[in-house]
Amino acid sequence: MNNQLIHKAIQAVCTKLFDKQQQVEMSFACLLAGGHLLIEDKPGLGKTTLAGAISHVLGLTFKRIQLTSDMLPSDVLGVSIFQPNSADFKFFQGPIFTQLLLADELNRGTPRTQSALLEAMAEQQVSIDGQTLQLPSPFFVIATQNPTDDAGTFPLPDSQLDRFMVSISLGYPSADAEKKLYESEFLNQQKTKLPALISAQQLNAMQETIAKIHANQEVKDYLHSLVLQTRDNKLFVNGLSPRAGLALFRLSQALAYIANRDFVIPEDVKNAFLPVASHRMRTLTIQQNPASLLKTILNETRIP
Amino acid sequence: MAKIQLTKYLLSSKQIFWILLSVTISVLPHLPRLPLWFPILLIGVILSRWLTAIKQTKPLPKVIIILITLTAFITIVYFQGFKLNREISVTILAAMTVLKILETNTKRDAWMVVTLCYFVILTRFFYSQDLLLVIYLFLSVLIITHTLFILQHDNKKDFIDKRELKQTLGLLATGLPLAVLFFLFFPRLGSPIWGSPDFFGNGKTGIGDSMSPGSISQLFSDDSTAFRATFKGTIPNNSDLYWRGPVLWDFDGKTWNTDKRSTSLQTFITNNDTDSLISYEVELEPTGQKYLFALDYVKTAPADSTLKADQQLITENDINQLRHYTALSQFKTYNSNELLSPEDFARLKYLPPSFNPKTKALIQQWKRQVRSPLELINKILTHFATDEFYYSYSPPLLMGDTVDQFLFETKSGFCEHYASAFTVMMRAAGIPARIVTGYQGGILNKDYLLVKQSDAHAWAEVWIQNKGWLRVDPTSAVSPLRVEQGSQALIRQNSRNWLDNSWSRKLGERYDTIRHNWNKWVREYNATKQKAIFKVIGFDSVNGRAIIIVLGTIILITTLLVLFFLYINRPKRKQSPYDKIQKKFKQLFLKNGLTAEENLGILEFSKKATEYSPQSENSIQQFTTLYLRLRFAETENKQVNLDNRLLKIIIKIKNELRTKGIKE
Repeated sequence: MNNQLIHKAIQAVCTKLFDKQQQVEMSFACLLAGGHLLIEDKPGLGKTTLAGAISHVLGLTFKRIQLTSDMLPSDVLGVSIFQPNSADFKFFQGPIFTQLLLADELNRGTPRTQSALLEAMAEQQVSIDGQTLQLPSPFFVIATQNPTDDAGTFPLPDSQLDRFMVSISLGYPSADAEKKLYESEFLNQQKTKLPALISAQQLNAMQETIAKIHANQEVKDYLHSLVLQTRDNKLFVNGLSPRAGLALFRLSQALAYIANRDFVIPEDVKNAFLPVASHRMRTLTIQQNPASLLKTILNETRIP
Repeated sequence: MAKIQLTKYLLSSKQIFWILLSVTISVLPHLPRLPLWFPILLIGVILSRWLTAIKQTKPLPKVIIILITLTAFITIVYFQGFKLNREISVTILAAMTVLKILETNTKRDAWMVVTLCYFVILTRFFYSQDLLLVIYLFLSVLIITHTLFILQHDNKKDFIDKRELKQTLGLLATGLPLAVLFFLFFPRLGSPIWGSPDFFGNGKTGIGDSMSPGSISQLFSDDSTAFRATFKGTIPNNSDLYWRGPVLWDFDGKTWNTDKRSTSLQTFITNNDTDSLISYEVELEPTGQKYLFALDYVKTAPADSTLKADQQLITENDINQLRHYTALSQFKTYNSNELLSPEDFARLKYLPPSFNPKTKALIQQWKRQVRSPLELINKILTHFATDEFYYSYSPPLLMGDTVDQFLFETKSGFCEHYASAFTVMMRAAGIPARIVTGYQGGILNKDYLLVKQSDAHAWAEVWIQNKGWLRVDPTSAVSPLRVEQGSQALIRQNSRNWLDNSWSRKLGERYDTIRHNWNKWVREYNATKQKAIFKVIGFDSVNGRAIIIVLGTIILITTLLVLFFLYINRPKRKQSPYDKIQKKFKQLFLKNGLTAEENLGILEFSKKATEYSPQSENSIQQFTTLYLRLRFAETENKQVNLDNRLLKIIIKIKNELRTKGIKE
């Protein structure tokens, strides 16, 4: 199996973002699995750098929106403007008509603007002025979000969160990696734009391969038992939806692909579980943290 | 992580509900004998805890809980005295169990409270082992055990879930045979460790040591059991069943009292005609008094009691628990076993001077018409039978010269009126006489004679010169039915109140049968009966060895049964051969000193193993790749012998690990 291409892309992104191999792999796995990616973290940890690097490497048409609280849906979707010459309305496409959309600081946008993205992310189409317009394919959204308790943020509704396949957070870099940032070499490196390594066709082909990756009954059982446990656990408000379960499965396949295997192993599922589940779960009380509860589930479930 | 560990043990409102229910239900039967402030404390604590549970309000501060606890403790000690006795211990136990609710926040606390509830329930047996109470306690054990269940498996939303209750019932039902076996074979004490006043015996009416008009007729409406008698032979006729109780010597014009001075002496006259000896066993309900009841005339006194000269059976202590005794009686017309002194005769003839002048005059007149005491007795009885006298359990109230009023005005009375009037008349004639109280008759209930409080009776005894005491029952002259067929026959003719009908009486008697059997088989199961059971299974004596063998066998069989069912119902997890081989692989390193969490994937584990033993890196890699491919990859035909390759790698790693050990 030829996955050299994807490894090259991962390596390229890693030159921009030190010491975050795991998160970069997870981001690529998400895109390979056909899902949208949510990067959650505090400002200044490299969210936008990561999103930008991925978009460059993938060689897709790329647009970026920076959400603020005074942004309107038309700023995202596009607007029809009256043409005096033809006495007609002409539609001017918004930034959403692209293959890769980077929605920076998504939760700073108002709920109205956020919901404009909803249909696009789920159906790959937008409805404007009674017309339904198809979005280009492939269509990816990479969104970044600040911690919800920061000032000036609107928490994303559950329905929108569920449309993101994966959420990752970057965290602080290691001491060595951080010191590298201070060197002058790094500044030059950041200035150069990464070349496009993967084309849209290649990406489509990879996605097709991934969907065919084999998972045997034991793996599926393990996956399903994890999903069931999120539903049975009383400390959670809700359990994982079937859509989330499917996302978990696709992501596991993508991880297997990146690991150069043509079959899924339980550890792929285990690694995919937290990124898929943690942003979808809410706990009953504030004292509990969904991620650590999910980790407990992982630790207590027998892995085949 | 620490926070999660804690929340795992927090209690849901359903669990709190069951804990509160358990505590309430276990404290409830104690309430009547606990201090008056106790119910207030109980309600207060429960409301407070329940509010904290559902409204999520803040629990009471620690300081306040400590203050309440100290106050409760000091109040108990202040009012009940600082003694280490049962009363105070039980009160403190109940109070502290209730107060513990206030600081029940985690499962650990909850388990403690629930265990305390079992203890509180148990202490109720110190006071009574009545059947009704046992049924109540069984129900509360069900609730407490269900609380334990809820603490472990809190899955269902409904507070009361049928399926959950069913599981608890199943648990208890499984435990029941074991409990029965332990009850039968666990070493028994000769007598209970607690010498206790029976709570239900308190305040109960019954035959007392004095009698005034109305004191027996009020018992007539009480259908509760006085005692039960089981006869060895045939049951005598109803008219012979005079159950003798307190003998009343002294009359003050209104009330008759027992002989507290006990001056008469017993003479022993050997009587050889054993034909008419009657042997029977009596099961006496607690009375709170010292009298035992036995048939006239008692031949030998039961153990732990004395037979006084006037044929009263007296025990040393108040009868506050169910009491069993065997008695031997003999029917005879005259009882001459009593030696009376001149003072005794004077007392037996004494009447208060100013009372009942009309009666005295009448007797003086009659005395001149008869030649012997017996004739006088007959004259009086005939007078009762022929004149307009009525037998009534609700006679008019008598004041002042009670006998005069009864004989000349009201002419309506219950047995105590007739016995009293008759005895006064005898004494007026200068004939020694006294009153005997007790029970008359009884009804046959299955295989025993049931004597109810409504069978209470009073009759007279007259001293006939040279012959002895003669029993005279004036009631029989007025109402022969009462004596020949018993009070039940009267009740059948006229119901006493609107609740009184044959159906309810039948029900009462049926319930008494159950209670009788309960007493016989459970409450009175003692060392002797245990010995008999041991004999049945082949042990001649109940010694340590026998008990250990029997109990050991029971425990062994139970354990085997439990293990068997656990084995049958073990979680059906298919152990694939790969699981075994994976375990083998992991064990290699774990035994060698590697520490790793459970449920680690094989890749993660291999990473750790490689760090631990770098020289085996290749073999570990080889194993992991092969293992994953064999187990999870899609291949057309999985060859079994490939497993041997995995085993071979394991052996290789084993050797590598060994050489590592040598190098070090």
